[in-house]
Amino acid sequence: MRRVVRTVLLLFALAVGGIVAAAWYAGDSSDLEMEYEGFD
Amino acid sequence: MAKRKRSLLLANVALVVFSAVVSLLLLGLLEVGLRVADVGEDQRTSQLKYQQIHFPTLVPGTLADGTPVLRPADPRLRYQSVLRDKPEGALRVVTFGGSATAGLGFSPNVTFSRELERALRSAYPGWKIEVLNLGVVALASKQVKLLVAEVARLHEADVMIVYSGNNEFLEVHAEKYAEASATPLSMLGSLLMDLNLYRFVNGLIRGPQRGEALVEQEFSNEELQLTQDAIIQHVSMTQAEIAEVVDRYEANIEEMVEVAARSATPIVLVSVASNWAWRGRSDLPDGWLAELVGEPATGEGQVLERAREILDERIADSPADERHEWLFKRALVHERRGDLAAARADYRAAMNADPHLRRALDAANERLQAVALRRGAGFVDSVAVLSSRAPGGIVGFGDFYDYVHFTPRGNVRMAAALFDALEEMGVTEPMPGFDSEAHAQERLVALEALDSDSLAVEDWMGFAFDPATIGGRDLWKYDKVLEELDERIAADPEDVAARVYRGNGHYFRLGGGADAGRDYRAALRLDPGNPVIRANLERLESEGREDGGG
Repeated sequence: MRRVVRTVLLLFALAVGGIVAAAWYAGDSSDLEMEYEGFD
Repeated sequence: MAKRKRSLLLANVALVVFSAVVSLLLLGLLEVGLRVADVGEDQRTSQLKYQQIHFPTLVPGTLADGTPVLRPADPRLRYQSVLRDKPEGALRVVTFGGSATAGLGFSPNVTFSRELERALRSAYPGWKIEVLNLGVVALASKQVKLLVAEVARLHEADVMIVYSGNNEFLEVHAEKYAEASATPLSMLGSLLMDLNLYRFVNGLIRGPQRGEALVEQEFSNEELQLTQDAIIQHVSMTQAEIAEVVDRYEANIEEMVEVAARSATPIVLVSVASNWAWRGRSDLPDGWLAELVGEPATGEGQVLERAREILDERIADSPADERHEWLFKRALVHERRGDLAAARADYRAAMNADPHLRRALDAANERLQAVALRRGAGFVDSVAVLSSRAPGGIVGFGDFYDYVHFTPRGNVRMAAALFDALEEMGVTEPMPGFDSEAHAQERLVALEALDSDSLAVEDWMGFAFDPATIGGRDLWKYDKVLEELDERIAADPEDVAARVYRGNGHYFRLGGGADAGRDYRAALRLDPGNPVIRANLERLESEGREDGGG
């Protein structure tokens, strides 16, 4: 049982860590970018 | 032995799978918890960075004499202020919209908002008049309605004027392009941004973000910097999708009227006009008609008749996304033939069929008018106002220097119509002896006679030394003028006019008070007796902005 809890906690920590790392490096990565400009 | 190994392996795999499922459930629970507690809510008002808005829009400040005022916090808004405690009998007008309201291309003095302020001050010299311009470049009705709601709730406006409709397709174009060019990584990023957990963590790491002026933005990913032209090569909108955007626009306008009604604030909805004669930064080449007809011309009448026949065929045969070009050319042919009604119809049809979708559609304007009629809101038909005064009724370069941004003349015309609308709605009272049309004519004559920019900060237009800039088609011409002033002063630090102009540029920039003071004082040292420079400096000093207060 203890092994199961440990594995669950490890995987959960990895997932949260992954999210934190992604936020740290990528930020609002899904913000779209497009120049606001006139057109021809 | 082998069997034991296998069962051990199976047990381990089962453990990992089970643990993964449980940890995913835990993550799910955490996400649900955050959503229930409203933590990490998506506060973006658009997926485009420059369409974000952050509240509050106005923050407290004090003038040099201690008078409490409210000033913009968003650096995209230019410096302006209203009294924190609105005096009895004061008239407070707030204008909303995108770049056409903000006055992109000029100083904030060249806006319909400022022209309306001038007209109101002339008409009601004894009144305390405040006209606040909350136009922000690139905002669509989805963001404008949030600003309208904030002002209706907090800022005691006597009337709100909404001129919004040119930017409705910006976000959807960018979304469609992102979908069309999605990579597994970008899809993962987009998936993560949908999680409250991710946004919460991101907020903890980065803190709240404030808006930046477009030209100051650091775009992080070069390949995602797209011009509108590149976008329409990859993205097309079906008629149903366009209709959906127009429906959402109407709903947004309706919400604005609703929040205005709830706070008993009169609201004026203004239809959004644009330049029907716009084809791009350059016009058609001189020989386009001869090239189209393709045979030796035998008199202009015949050439035009033949061109019309060819264009009729092209319009009938061409796919929807190419039709606007032929409609535009046929409009030119009709105009040359003197058939102005047909020319107007084709210009408008060309505008409505333009796949760039960067000018408010007639369909959207019709919805706006319908909302105004249905809800009893004020309405100004800017298309009719400008068309009634334009040569041949064709709204063109007299009123717009590019596809949607007003010339000084366009702003004067708009302001006169708004002035009349406020009177009709009972927001202002008729003032005997003041005629808005005569005032507009005076302004137009003064603008026509202008051969140099004013040193006075309240009149400075932002073209500085080159009046040809007024008609120039570049959206970013004002920013370029400011850069050129830096160069000019670097080459000749004793150029008094350049110092004052640059001071004026700093004056209007949020946080530019100290720089403006430096330039005005340097100019005053060079020309100590100049009353205009002294007045600029006194105005700045009275606002108490030089210690970073705005």
